[in-house]
Amino acid sequence: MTAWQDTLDELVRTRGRALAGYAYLLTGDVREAEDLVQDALVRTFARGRSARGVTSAEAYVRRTILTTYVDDFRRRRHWATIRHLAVVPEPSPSDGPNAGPEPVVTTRLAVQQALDLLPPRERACIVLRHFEDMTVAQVADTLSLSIGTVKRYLSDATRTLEEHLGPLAGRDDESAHHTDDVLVTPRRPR
Amino acid sequence: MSTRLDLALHEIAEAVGGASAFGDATAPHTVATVRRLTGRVRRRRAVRGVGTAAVAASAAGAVVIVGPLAERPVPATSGAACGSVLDLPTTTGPAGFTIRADTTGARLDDGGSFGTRQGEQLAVQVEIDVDDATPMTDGAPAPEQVAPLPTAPELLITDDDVVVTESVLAPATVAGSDGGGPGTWSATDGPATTAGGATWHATAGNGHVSVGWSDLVDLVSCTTGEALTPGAYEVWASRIGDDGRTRTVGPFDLTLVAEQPAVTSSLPADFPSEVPLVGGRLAAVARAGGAWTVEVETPGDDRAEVARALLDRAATRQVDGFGGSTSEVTTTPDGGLVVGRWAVTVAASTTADGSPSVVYRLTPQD
Repeated sequence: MTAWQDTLDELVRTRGRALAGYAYLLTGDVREAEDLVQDALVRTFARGRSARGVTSAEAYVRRTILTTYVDDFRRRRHWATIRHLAVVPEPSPSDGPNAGPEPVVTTRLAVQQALDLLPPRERACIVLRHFEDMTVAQVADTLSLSIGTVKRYLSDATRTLEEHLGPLAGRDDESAHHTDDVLVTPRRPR
Repeated sequence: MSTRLDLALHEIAEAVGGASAFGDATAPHTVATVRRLTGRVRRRRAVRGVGTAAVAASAAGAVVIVGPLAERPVPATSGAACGSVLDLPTTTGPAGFTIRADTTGARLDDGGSFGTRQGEQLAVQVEIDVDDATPMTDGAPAPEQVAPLPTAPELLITDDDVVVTESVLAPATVAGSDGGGPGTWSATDGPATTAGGATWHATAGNGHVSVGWSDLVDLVSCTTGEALTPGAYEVWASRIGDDGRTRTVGPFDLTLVAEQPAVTSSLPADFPSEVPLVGGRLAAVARAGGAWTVEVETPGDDRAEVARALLDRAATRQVDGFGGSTSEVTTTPDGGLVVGRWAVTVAASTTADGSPSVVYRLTPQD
């Protein structure tokens, strides 16, 4: 096998599931997520971007997953047609007679369904900010948006999520509305 | 009770990933999956033939406003196969898009050049003109116009007409431009990207919208995966318009220079070792009042960017803060970087005999 085939094989076997989970955060559909991952793998390896090993290849694949998702008109149209149909259940209280048997699953389901209400770019910003742990500047660089636009997307998305999930908290119990106030220039990843 | 969004997202990804059949290393179907993906990659690398219609002389390449978002066919690739002779139709008339080298910001006209480069990446911008916004009358606001974003352009690099690098540029935002004249539309009025595509507002006049792609393209061979060897190449940009026709701009010359030798062995022993210098020939070094000035003769129109990238990596440090660890650099008011205990600036220059060089100035930080 050639080097790229070895890399592709190892990437699918060791990181395939993680990539599927990442794609699912964007698409909200398992089958779409798996298709998106496979398309991204083909596009990445067909353009010779696998030369530097699994870690480098995965970074390219993740970026391709993201850009393909954001750029996919069919998904955006599908979102637009089903947005008004989305019903988000009220989260169960954590205790008392109305407490569900699996509060963690309920929260996860509520978050999944709330994410489905977001348009693609807002959803991508939320995933990059809160799942990939990127700074606002890094999100802007990844999506080729201005920092102001990213802040607006994050603000709009957070408002939508909070309408259905209640208050959102980041790490250390700080508000999820927190945006970076960096006193020095963040490094732009290449 | 607050919802920890970051934790919820990780739980969702782990739960779905763990349940996904894709990439299960122990499942027998994974072998078939990898084999299928490998086949798709091979076919995509080797077979790129698509029927492209001849470009009409009057075709402008502009994206036509079609009102509400319509179903668009998935665009085929441009017809350029990695490792094969470039075979793209010649575009007659305006192509409807332009290409520029990111470092200069200047658009490349026919016969233009990306110049000489020693870096491993090529910064490129491609801009596609969207159809002019409909002018309105009597100063009334124009109705919102919705159109799908145009297909992403493909960047190709050839060596003696053989395609050695190809990449589809990552999509960027919709950019606005001011067409000039009375009552023209301003980028500050929009556009804003929506779920349906690009929307913009127009006032009377001839303002128009363009969609820009900006990307760093790895200068890596699509057949071997290795860095392109020094030499002369040609750069093309190609895209398929809404009418299914392929439009191309180029070729633009690109010269890659060989990796330069390190200059560290030529430097004085007390030169700060934490400050990296670009490779080349040490042309001059001087010290005055604790500060250093160093000139390195080195080729490439991007020599200052290459030097800056080395400094950037050396200046980067990890800082723990909200949301985790972040990478940061400290800059100085004159645009330099703080590397260790030194404020460092670098600028492109030429030596006394006219050879390209970069000049560093190191100032100690108190």
